[in-house]
Amino acid sequence: VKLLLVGMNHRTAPVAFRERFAVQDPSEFFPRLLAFEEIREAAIISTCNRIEVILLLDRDRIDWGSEWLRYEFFRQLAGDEPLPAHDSLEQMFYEHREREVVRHLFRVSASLDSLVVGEPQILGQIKDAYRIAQENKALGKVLSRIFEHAFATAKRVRHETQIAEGAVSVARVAVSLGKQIFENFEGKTALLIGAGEMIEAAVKALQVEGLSSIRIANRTFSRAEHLAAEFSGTAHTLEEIPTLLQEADVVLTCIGGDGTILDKPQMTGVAKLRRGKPLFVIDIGVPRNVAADVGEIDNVYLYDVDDLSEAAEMNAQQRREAMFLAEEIILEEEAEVTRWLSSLQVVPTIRELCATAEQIRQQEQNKTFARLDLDEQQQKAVEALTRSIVNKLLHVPLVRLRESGASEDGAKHVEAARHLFGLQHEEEERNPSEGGQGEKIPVRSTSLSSGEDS
Amino acid sequence: MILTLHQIAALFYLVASLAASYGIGMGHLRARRFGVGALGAGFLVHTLALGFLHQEPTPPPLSDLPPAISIMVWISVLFFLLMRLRMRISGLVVFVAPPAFIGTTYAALYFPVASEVVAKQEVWSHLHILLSSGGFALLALAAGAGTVFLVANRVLKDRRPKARRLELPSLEALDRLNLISLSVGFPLLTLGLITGILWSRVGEAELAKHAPHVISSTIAWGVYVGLLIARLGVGKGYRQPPMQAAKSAIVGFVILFVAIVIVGILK
Repeated sequence: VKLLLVGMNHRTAPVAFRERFAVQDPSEFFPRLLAFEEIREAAIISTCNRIEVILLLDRDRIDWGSEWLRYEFFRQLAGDEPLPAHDSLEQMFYEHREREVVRHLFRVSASLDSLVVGEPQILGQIKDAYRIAQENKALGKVLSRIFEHAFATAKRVRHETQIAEGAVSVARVAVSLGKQIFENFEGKTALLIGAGEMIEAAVKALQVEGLSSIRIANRTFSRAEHLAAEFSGTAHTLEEIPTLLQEADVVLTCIGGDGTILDKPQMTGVAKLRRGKPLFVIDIGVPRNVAADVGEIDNVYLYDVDDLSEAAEMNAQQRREAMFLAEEIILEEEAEVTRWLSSLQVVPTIRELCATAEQIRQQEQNKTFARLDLDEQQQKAVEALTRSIVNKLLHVPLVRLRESGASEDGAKHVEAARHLFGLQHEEEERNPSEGGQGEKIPVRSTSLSSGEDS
Repeated sequence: MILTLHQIAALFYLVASLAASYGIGMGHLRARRFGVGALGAGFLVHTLALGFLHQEPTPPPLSDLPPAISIMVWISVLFFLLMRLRMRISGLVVFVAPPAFIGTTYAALYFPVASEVVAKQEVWSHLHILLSSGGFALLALAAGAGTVFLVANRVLKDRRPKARRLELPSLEALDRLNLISLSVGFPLLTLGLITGILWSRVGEAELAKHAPHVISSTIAWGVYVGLLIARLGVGKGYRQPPMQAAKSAIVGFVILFVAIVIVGILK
């Protein structure tokens, strides 16, 4: 059997395409995948940034699987509306086979392939994909093992590298800075000056951290009211800012217009009235809304958009550096899984070899029994003798085959064994239907060890 | 056994210091956590060491400097670990563990041999040492929190992101630690002074004999009264701003250190 992965992600396809292939509920697509006999196991990963299908296929059906996924399955996902021209769509898909699938899944789970490297959500999404595939009885021994190993690898990468450390978005950097001033944001009051998208993103991040009270001051009062309704805050005019500043713990400014709206003399007065209570000011406006020298006032901590961007970029760089170590971990883990997969490939050959030997033994034994008039005791003795000879003859080749299964040359040894012992090739053995349409397999059993693939 | 356990505790405190320094300097979360764990392990061994004091038929006098320092370290680590349960102050291990290592190492090297003379004023002396060591340790912790507050404030004011990578505890947590340490440490110091006076009288020692030590300690205590009034904002209706509180805690502890340790040595 062979592993195949076909998919598209944020690097290969724009969101306009990805959203066409996004799967809300992968469960409804498993019957279509599992209807084919050639597909032994399957999993569907669908997130905002990627849609991927992983299949465990019969060895000779991998090309068919690739084409079927691209031209049939993904088209089904896209629905009835016309898709872009064929050529451009083809470029949006990527494909991995065999150990590349393992490496890719490990990289995705460890968040090395994410839009924001090191983001933690992807692991949960992969676990969801695993769970859904399990619920739909689409997983067998092979994919289950690979997924479980992917989770362990992701955990190892997270613990042994700095891949997930440091905020990499302006909003998260603001939260991280705030946590160096306040123990937490619970019970804290934020004053938002302006009502743009940047402010919204920062407030959402702060609200996740427990920010409770929000006041919004804006030139256009209706816009302030709209945002206040969204964040359960209160709307104010710009004239109210001096009063609001006295009660605020966090000030977020991003408002258009020339000149600053908060200057040092004004903020010095506010700081005095606040009696040393710390004030965290984030100025993400361009041009800046707060005079730079406001940061010199005791207990006032001012950061502008460049400060935040610089910190975000530095953390992103740190994560990129951590990727080298993470890739090494993934290669190590991938090698382990590949060894295991290789060891599985000898199982059908061993099974077949034993079956062939037993068949020959029985044929020859029956011929002998027909020629000689042996009593029951004598027959048992002959049977034991032939069985013993066969077992002894096969013992060393079988041991060698098992040992070589885990090595890189495993496939060559399997091939050699099949040739030497005259075993039929899998392709010759099976009589695959031309269209690939086969009998539906209701429950996925452990395909490799059960010999279904040979 | 007491010496061996002190040596083991010192080793744990050293490991905690190194792990916490590496964790803070390199931004390594696991190293920081390991530092906290090592500090906790050192504390347990340290507790065992002090527990063995009771098993000694003739325990060494606590008024000797090595046992007093050992107790001081033990109380400050205990208080820090308790505070850590309520606040995100793990980053402070880097400031707590090194003095703990130095203190226990000193105690391990110079721990007195068992005294054959059991003073009749033993209760007062033990109370005096325990209370004043506790007070001294907590006021030292308040000063430590104040120092880290000033460093953290400087780091936050510095706009270069590299400077902010130290990942110190939040200013709010440091200020709270300062306040709690001061609020608990000052009453302990006060009781320590009172029991010290009682110890001198019961022992029929002349108070005048300890005059410089008593006078300097009383002056330091008076300074702390003033600091506490300012800190709690008695009469003003509002608490002292965190920055001033941090500076006050440092100044107060320096005066206390001179009054108790330097004057004690000179005496």
